[in-house]
Parts: sequence; structure tokens; C-alpha cells
Amino acid sequence: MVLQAEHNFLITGDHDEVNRQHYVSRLRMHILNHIGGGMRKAFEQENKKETSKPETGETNLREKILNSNYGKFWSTMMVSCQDMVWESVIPPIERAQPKLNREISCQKNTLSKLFLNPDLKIPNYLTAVDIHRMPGSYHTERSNNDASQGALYDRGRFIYNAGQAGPFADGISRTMAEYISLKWPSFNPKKILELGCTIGTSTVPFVNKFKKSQVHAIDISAPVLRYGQARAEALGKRIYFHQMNAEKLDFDNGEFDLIFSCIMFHETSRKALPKILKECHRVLSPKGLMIHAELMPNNNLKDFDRFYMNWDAFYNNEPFYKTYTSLDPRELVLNAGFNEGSFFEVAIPDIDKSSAIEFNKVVSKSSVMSKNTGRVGEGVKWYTFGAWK
Amino acid sequence: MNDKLDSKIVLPKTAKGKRSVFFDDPAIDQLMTFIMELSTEVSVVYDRLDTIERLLDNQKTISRDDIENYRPSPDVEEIRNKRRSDYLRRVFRIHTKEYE
Repeated sequence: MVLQAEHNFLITGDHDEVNRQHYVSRLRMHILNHIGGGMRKAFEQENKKETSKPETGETNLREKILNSNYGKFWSTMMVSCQDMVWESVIPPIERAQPKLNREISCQKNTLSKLFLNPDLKIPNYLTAVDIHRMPGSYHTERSNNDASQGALYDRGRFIYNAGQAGPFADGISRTMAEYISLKWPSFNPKKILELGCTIGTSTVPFVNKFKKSQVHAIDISAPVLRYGQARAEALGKRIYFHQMNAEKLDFDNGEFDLIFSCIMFHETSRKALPKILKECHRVLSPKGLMIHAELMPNNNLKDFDRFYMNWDAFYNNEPFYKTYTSLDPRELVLNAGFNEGSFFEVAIPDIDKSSAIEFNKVVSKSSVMSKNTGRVGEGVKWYTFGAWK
Repeated sequence: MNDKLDSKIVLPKTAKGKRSVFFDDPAIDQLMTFIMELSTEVSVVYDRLDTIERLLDNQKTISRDDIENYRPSPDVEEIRNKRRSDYLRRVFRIHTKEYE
């Protein structure tokens, strides 16, 4: 496991706390890969024995798995471990307060800018439950300079991922930025916008890749943006952060040449999603590119993977997850005003977990989607979809 | 919201939303949490012992501060992760033939 890249505002913990966090990361990987992998094997073999038809449907399979001791142990361990991730990072962050908030609010920002909107209403789909069981979710603030949820998200997500997205936890975004630059080498966006940036981990790779571009990033939550600005400044990156709702952007028509998001839509809602895509179409410049990394649509997954991926929808406080994965990205994009021929979808191999040959192979093809493409069991691939205006 | 910059911040420890149980008797779900938390603390003690041993490899006496300030190099972290993974395989194994 790689160690997390340090910056001025990262809160890890004392000797024992850091070791506790690193153990919880391993525990989560053990549950996912070892116990989850064994469960897959057991059910695939059982399925073969019982019926000649290998796929029995996700609902039946879920019932069957969750009725078995194997499925019960796996599930209860998943939930406990999820809580343990956050529990392992909360005490040092709480202890670091109020110093952390004070230092963040007093920092001189010469590169990054932050535009907050205290009147913005946080939509119900973000407040109804704490997404990912992260206590306080993205938005909770306890003082007018509170950035705790940003600190919690920074360390907690790294522990949750067991460092698999690299020392800066930015693997998906680096994968996307690399793909765009190789696939469309003559594309030079002047202004870039990220939706749902949280603390800007996914924004930074676009700053690094598109050096001449002005990069803007929005999120609805002030605590993560405060932390994100401090983090960007500490890393020497120029990002313009805005507190905004992606359903109603305060930007002009055609203002951005490139709009992207990293695994955001499934945390919105059935009503918000089409509005956000329409806003993307509105603020995108003519010949601009919209590209989003998201969960694989369900019709691309096999039964077990569908069960495995959708588990979070039921038990990890992600209420829109299952509905989202049943939607057709093409239809959504076309309904937002994009042209039929401009839609694309691609499963990009993770930049850190694939060879240059493998990566370039995907870049050179127009599409690599197939019925069996999924990011479970076939190496890590990031599903992305989008369109040119 | 509190306008004071220096006020004490208390973070919530539990998540808003339903916490699912999977066994017919929820006590088993609760027991699994106890066991997993306990396994964590054993691993933390092991790492502390490992820190002490590594410090004693290079010096005759050590202080609490030496222990608290010790941060493993990436190489040592890798050794610890291997130990953690082996430990997890021994402790959390499931009695199913197809599993191995």
C-alpha cells in the first residue's frame, strides 16, 4: 500500500492511530478481495451445479447470497469495516480542531480562489443520509470557518481505498486526463470545469495535464471547498473553487471548453441528474467536450458483479446508486441536448494498473464497451461517458 | 452556527441513516463488530512492538517519545502490510471448500 502524500493540512494521527488506519485498510481489502472473491467462487460453482442457465437474475442472487452464512458474514463485515474506516480517522481530526480550521482560514491564498455562497440550500439527496456512512457527510459545518468534513474526507477516503488510487488518491482523474490528452491531442481547452469536486483531489490532475487552462471546480459543500482550497494552495495548484449547485450553475452560456466529473452522478437524484446534464450542455462552448466517469451501467455487468456493485445501494447509504446504474447514459446525454453522433462511452484501464500498450489500445479504438465489460474481475477499468457539443 | 473561531469542534461518530443487520439475531452482527475491532487492536499492539524492536536495533534505550515519533519507511510499511494480510487470512477465514 502506498503512503498518502503529505501536505500542510493532512491530518493522519499519532503512532497507534496511523497503524490502526492502515490495518483497517488491509481489513477492508481482505473483506473485498479475499472473502468477497471466495464468495463469488462459491456462488458461481453452486449456480453451475443447480442450473444450466448461468445467470439467474440479480434479485434472486441477492436473496440467495444474503440467506447464506457466507453472504451474511461478508455483508456484516462490510458495514462494520465501513464504520471502522471513519472511526479510525475521526479522533485525530477532532483533536486537531479548532487549530486546523483557524490555520485554513488564516492561510494566504496566492494561487487558488474560493467563492462561497452561504445562501445555497443543500439538496435533500445529500442530507437525507450520510453518504458512504461518513458521519456528517460532505456538508455539515459547525462554525463559519469549519473545514473538518474536508479533512475527514481526505484521510478517510485514502484509508477506504487502501491507497489504490495513488498517493494523491487521484487515479480516476489522472486516468481521464491522460485519456483525453492522448485521444484528442489537438484539443486545448481554455477553461475547464469540474462538477462535485469535494476537496479537489480529482481537479489537480487536470491542472497538471492542461497547463495553459484555467481550471474551475464546484461543489455544494463549503467545508470540503475550504479544505480543498487550502490543499490546492499547499500543493501549489491554481484552482477556482465555487460553492454551487450543479443543477443551476452561475456560469454563462458556452463558458467552458471541457466539463468533467468523477463518480458524482450516482450521489445526486433522478430529478437532479437530467438538470445537471442540461446545465453541462448550456455552459459548454461550441465544440467543447463533456466527459464523466461513473459507475458502469448495469446492463454491462454479469449477475454476480451486479449484486456486488449494487450492494452499496442497499447497505452503504447510497440511495440513488441502484436507480442510477439502471439508467442509459446515452439517452440521458441526448435528452440534455447533445447530438446522437457525438455521444461516446468507454471503459478506460486504470493508468496505474495497466501497461502503456493496454492503455493505448483503448485510446486507439472508437469504443471498447461490450456486454462483458465491467470493472469487477477484469482488472480496474473506469467507465466514462460523454459527448462533444 | 458558531461565529467563534476558537470554539471546540465535536465531530459526530455515527452516520445518519439505517445501519443494516444481516443475521436473524442482530447480536451476531454486533459480535462481528466486537471481533473486528479487537483484531484491529491486536494489530496495533503488534505494530507498536515492531516499532520498539526496530528502534532497539539501532539504540540501547528508547523513550516513549521515540516510539510516538517513529514513522515506518515505505519498506517497513510494506513488511507490516504483508504481516497484516497474513494475520487477516489466519483470523478471518471462512469454512468453505471453494473458498481457497
